[in-house]
Amino acid sequence: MARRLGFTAIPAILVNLDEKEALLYAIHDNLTRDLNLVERAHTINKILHIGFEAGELHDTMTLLGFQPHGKILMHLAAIASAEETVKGFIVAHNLAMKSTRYLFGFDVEEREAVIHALSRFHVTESMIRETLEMLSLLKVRTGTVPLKDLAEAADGKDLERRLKDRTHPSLSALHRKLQGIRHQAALPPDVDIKVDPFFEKEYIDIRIRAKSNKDVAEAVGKLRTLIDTDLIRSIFDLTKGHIR
Amino acid sequence: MILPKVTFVEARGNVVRDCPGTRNHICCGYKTIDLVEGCILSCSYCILKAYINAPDIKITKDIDPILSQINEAIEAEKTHILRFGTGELSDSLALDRRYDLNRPLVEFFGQKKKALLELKSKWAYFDHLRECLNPYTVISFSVAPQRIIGQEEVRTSPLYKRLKAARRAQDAGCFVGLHLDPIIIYPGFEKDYHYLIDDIGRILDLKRVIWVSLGLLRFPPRLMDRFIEEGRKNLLHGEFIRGEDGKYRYLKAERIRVYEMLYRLLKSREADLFIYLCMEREDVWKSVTNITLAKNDDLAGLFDRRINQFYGGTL
Repeated sequence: MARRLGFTAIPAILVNLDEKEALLYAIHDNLTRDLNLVERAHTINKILHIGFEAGELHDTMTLLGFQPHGKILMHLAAIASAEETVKGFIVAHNLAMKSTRYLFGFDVEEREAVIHALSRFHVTESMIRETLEMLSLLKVRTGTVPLKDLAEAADGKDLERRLKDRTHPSLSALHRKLQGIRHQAALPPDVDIKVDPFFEKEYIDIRIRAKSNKDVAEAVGKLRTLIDTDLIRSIFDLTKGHIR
Repeated sequence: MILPKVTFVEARGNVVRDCPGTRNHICCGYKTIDLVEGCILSCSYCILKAYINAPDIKITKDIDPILSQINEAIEAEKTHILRFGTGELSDSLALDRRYDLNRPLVEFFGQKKKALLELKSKWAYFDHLRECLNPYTVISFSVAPQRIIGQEEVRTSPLYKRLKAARRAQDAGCFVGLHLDPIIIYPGFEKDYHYLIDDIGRILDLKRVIWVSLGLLRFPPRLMDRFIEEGRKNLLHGEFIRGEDGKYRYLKAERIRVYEMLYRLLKSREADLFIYLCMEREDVWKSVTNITLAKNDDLAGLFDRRINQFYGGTL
């Protein structure tokens, strides 16, 4: 490479190092840039194979930003020896440890299916994390991963909706009911009814945007109609858990 | 059982504290005595796993400053009858036969006669305390269907031993508390809880049960990862949402359904039972019990009434 770039000589300092010292030098030199998770996993894996003492291993893990726990060590070793597609996916989406732990909770086939599905559309890291969490939850509950949903989802949002219908069927049903009530209420653009997304809070927030007394009177009139037609009560039924 | 490392530490700062409770939920004004930090029982759902990193057990060695903190709290309280417990950061009885930690507390409350000490446990042994027990100590057991005990509370005493121990406490002249907490929703849980309440009614004198708490499973977010990693099917069967306090809990409609079922079952065994919901919302309270509680103080008031009923207004 140096020759191709036209160098005839490059300055160098020769040092006599054993394999262990050389690795420590390499780690130290590379710490000036941002190492990705796969690179850090490879580093730890190499250290494991060279046979560092426990104390040195712990120090290096801490230096690389990991908690020195046996479980984490095993997980890093698994990342280092994973298939190239998995490593590529981790690097491409800059996955955090939490997400990779979910990913490695699946068997090889499931992992491939998940990566294949998520690579089909644009997804953010947080979307991947949420998806992996829902898939992991379903795997614990049912013993399987819904491969059909993974294959058929049109985009990230569609996949999220499909999975939420499975992990949170009652909550999804509440959201659909609320949507139906909103549709029926036909709120004007200057009036909004906000409901806590988990239907926990005892109250709802009603927002009116007004520029005059007339705007306020119109909005209040609309709300009065919603009370008279029982639509507000229907929303309270959802938030107070009075549903069967 | 192999014990984790136990270290004795100096009392630092306040060992007697207000139970932390949880934001936007009704709490009962309990006082905790953090005499022991860490638990040998290691139940799968235990929130200590999220809060305490070290596996070691820390025991505060000097009891005098603790007793004086308890005394100050009792003397400072002008409105309510205080209830204290050692079961917040540990199990009250699991280590007690070995270290005899509760004896000075039991004796102190017996002499003070102005507040109650609750020993809350899943460990069915308190015989070493028998000769010092007095009416100001409430022996309480957390109870759950045996299926849950067998799978999620593997190091604890089985259900029948806990209930028999509770009966022994009643026979020794103590009032007894029961905690159905955490209540876990899993396939067939309704039937199991039905049997559990049958067992409670058969073994205990329900007229001498001072309180029963109901608390559905709730946990901080970091435990969700742990449950998934450990494949905790029972714990993850239900549908969880994030409450206003950030903890995972079952969907409100589901909580109301389960609480109503248990409340009715318990009341059908003994209409006068005092049943409270642990860390629940005002509207859930209203739905389940038809009691309106606007603030924490209202619940503390209900406890006062119950205690006065049992102690004839002597506290």
